[in-house]
Amino acid sequence: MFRVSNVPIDTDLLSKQLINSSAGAFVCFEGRVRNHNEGSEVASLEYEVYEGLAAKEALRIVEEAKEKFDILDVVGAHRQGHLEIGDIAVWIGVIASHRGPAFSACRYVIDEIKHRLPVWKKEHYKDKAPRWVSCHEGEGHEIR
Amino acid sequence: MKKLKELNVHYYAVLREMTGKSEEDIESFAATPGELYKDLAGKYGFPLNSRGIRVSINEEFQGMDATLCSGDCVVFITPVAGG
Repeated sequence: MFRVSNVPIDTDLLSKQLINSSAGAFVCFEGRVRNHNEGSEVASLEYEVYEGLAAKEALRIVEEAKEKFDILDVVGAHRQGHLEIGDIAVWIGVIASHRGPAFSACRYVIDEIKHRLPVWKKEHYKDKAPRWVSCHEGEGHEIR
Repeated sequence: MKKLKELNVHYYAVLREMTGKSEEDIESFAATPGELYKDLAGKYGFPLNSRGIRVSINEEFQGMDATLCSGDCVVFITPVAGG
């Protein structure tokens, strides 16, 4: 299960979906808005999401993770809208019988989400104009 | 001979800001997303080099050389940054 959310991500609610007596391992990744990037002071972030395609692509990534790793389930969420420093931008939880596949699958899902989901991030700075950034270093799009 | 198609184009992020709109209906002779991108780049000043830009047709990723049909919903995906 993966959803795009307009409201703060409820991690307790997501964790409860991963209660399973066969699971000996639960690994989660929580991506938070930090106050700096590439030497600039970040004031806030704005996420824009192409929801229809993002939902389909996220489901594909989750299914790939289930095929590649010996895991039981994956749950995740990604925010859209304007986020403040410290807010949770993305959350991925994985359960498995053992910790190895749980760590590997969690890493796989977040890495693929960063590169494949149609999600755009606009950084607002304390001392300069905002700009859209990409996950590929040096490919940021300056706003005109 | 190329046919005139009715397309629905959605814009996100930097392209939305450059066009000043989130979507529009377009009549176009473009046979492929690559051709449509060139037309829109000329109209709105998008980067002429589309390297790194992907395209979605009807909520599925496609190649820039895919065939466009009347009624298609087209979205150009500039480099993303989830997480």
